Amino acid sequence: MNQNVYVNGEHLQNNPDWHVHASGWKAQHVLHTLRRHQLSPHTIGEVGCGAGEVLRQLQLNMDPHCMFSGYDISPQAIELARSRENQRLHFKLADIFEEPNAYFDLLLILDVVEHVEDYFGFLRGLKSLAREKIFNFPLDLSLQALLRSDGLMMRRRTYGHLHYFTKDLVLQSLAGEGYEVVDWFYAPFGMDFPVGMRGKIVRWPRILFSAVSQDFAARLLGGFSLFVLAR
Amino acid sequence: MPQNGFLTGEYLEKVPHWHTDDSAWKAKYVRQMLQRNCLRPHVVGEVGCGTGEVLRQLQAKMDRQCHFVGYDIAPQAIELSRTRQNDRLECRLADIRNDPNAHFDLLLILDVLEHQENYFSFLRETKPLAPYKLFHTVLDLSAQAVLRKQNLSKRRQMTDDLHFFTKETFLQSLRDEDYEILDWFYVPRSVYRASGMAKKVLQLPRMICFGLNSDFAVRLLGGYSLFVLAK
Repeated sequence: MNQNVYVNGEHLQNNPDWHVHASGWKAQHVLHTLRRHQLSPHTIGEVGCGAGEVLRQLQLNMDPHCMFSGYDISPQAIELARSRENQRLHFKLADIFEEPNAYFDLLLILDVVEHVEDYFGFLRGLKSLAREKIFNFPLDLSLQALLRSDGLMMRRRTYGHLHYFTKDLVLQSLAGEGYEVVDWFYAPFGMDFPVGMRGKIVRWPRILFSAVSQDFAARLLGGFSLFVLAR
Repeated sequence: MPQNGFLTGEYLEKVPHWHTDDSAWKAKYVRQMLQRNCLRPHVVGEVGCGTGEVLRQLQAKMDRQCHFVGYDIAPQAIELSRTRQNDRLECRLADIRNDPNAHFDLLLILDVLEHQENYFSFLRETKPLAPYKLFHTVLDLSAQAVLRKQNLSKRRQMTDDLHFFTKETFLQSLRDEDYEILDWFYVPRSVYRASGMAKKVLQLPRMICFGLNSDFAVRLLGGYSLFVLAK
């Protein structure tokens, strides 16, 4: 059932900007990862590209000859992405696994895995589509999310998250499917995008605890996601 | 990798008794659920029956005319079940979803969902096999489990649990796949498992907290599992 919310418009209703507000932030972290590892891909694919803003932001900041291809199964998302298309930036309403020629220097999988029913099969399928992959996983599992009766259910209802991760579960899942994890780092979206009054209040303890240990802060207060470079 | 551990014998190496020591305990709560809901099934199926001890325990306490059929994909489990089989209790080495004759009054799905790569499709496929389904799952997601480093990933390594649930996420998964929840209750798994006076005393805070607010106690301290009757 849940895959359909991306096709029938329900996800767009719940997320009218299709997460575009966070696209610049994600693109910055992707660029940071590329710089850290001196990677200069010529072809970049994105699974679950949504409105395509991450790819557009990357295009503005990368080699002008780089080719970008975004895939999404949601007609509404691809419709939003159309205005961003250009000669070297294309979007396709398609399941990337059904594309015979899909192969890239770098594949982006940003905030996608947690939405996929069979995420193990999904990870296995992605492995052969590019040499390097950059993942972004929201780390929904924290003490504060578990203490609230609605903590995880809100993420399920609003964002369609079917699976919930800690850093260790992310890395274990990738390793279990034969990925070589090259690098990873925490990205503090809860500090960069505090939502509502509660988000603004928790922002300060998050800053405080993460100064001591990001690992502990992520497990205690949440509000982090994990960027992973893998092969 | 995940499902293969059950076929290769790796799971038997990790769990030599194949959870047989918990079977009487589980059977007790299965009967309790049936009594609470005035159910008297004539044909009981079990997915992932392991050594068949739960069915044997049920057979010993239920109507003599009742038929029991267990399914497991693990050859080692079915081998261990041989001594328990009789005229009215059969354990089959098969995936229940591939058996065209699989239909029961009651289907037991005890500690199985968390091992399925795609538990959503598993729920969809098992739904038509019986009017009543009885689930058991360990509620591994708690604030204290998340706070302790690598706790969940270690659990995954030890028990091959691919998914972890709270009561809320478990019940919602059933609802999303169109199950009607008829009844559910918590069971104090850690209290039952605590052996020796010292360990039992350590369970006291858990029990007191549970007495004050069961939902909160389960989310805070864990150590409980969930039985659910659904249609």
